[in-house]
Amino acid sequence: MLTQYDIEEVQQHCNHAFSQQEIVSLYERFCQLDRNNGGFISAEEFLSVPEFAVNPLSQRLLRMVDGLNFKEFVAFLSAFSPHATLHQKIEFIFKVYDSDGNGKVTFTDMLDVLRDLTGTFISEKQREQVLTDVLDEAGYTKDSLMILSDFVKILGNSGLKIEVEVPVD
Amino acid sequence: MRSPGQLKSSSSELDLDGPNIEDYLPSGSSIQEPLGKLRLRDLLDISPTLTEAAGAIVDRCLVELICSFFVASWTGVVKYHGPRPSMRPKQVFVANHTSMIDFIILEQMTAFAVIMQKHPGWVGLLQSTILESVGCIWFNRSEAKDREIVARKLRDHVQGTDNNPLLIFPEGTCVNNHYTVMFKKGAFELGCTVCPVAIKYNKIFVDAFWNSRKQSFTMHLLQLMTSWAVVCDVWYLEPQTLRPGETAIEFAERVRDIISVRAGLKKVPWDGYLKYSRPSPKHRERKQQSFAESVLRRLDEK
Repeated sequence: MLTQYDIEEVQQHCNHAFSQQEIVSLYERFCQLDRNNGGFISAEEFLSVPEFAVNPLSQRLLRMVDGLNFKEFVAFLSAFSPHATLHQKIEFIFKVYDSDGNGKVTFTDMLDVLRDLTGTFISEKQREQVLTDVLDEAGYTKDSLMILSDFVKILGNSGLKIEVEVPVD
Repeated sequence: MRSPGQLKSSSSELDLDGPNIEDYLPSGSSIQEPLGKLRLRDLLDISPTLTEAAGAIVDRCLVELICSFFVASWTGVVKYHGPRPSMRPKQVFVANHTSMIDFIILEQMTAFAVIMQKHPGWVGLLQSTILESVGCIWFNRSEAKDREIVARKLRDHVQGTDNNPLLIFPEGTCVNNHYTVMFKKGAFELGCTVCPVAIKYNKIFVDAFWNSRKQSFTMHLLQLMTSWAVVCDVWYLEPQTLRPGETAIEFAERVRDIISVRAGLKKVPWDGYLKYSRPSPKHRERKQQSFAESVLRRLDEK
């Protein structure tokens, strides 16, 4: 059961990205997914949502979201709130790329994500070529180590839209 | 450029008459299709895919188990809309399915014969006694040969002139009242006119959807009986026939569209039984292929 105090604490933790009603709704959803009532949603439980399981980035996201408790779960989703700033959204994308969490995105990281998105429908060689070419055009090289501000520069004006509506009864 | 191969649905028993999922997947990709010359930001911007993933996590659960028959006295306020099609032979009714009370609600207006799963225990007993009078067709999902027997029974029923009109729930399972899942084609290949019926419950009053994993049937029953009046809307929609050149699956999808739009339900390309197994990797591959092709295409644009 979620007390008013809990709701406020969660709201603080996610920087007020969600309203109290949305947090209650997210809690219901969290409990629905957390079938064995472990207090966190396991990878298995996430993969039981069909739309999530077929998402090309599901494995990457699982790494970020596996074993989070409710407070952390809401904080994770805060990038998807319409109240989140563009910077927060870009930061989220950066974290998806930066799988080892060291604050730097390498050519390999970008290649990995591109592979997830294109599967076997582009050859590895073509993928590398595409990535090298677009990096080159943007003024980077294969050895460039991208940091968050690079991502902000690249994605800043692209009209990025990451938003999810929390259903509220 | 590789052309999409023919993808076959799995050969498990349950899928024998099910529609091929690949026929229903949106042909576009959820992964953003970039336009014009390819730039770094187009490759780095994974926001649509992320939005889809987050949406999947946040949205309600789609489907639950097969529901059971519910008989109890309750005060229901049901609003019926639209002229009910006059009863003719060679006509079947199809409706979206949330709970067994769908059947009761529709039954109040018209004596329907319905096709349903036979349940063990006291519910089965209830089914036998009460529904026998309106003329029901039983099926048993676990019996392999059952499919042909049922198909034959269905056909016989609709040909007969004295029988009550047949009501079929083509989703095959109870579905949370926000979505419709894929319709099985059985109802659409009987050579009959199909009369779509849309049912939408007003959630403010009661959640009629029975989540059998969370609640035993008895609890569900008690909850429904002690809650506010069930308030729902029922729309009788214009009868549809198979169009020339249309397959049974296309027909089913067309009717599902009509019902979903009327009741404000979101259509999903899932089969009602998907929750028992992981979706095939083909769905993911389809998305990947679409994005890959657009990337390669844009490479050629210099």
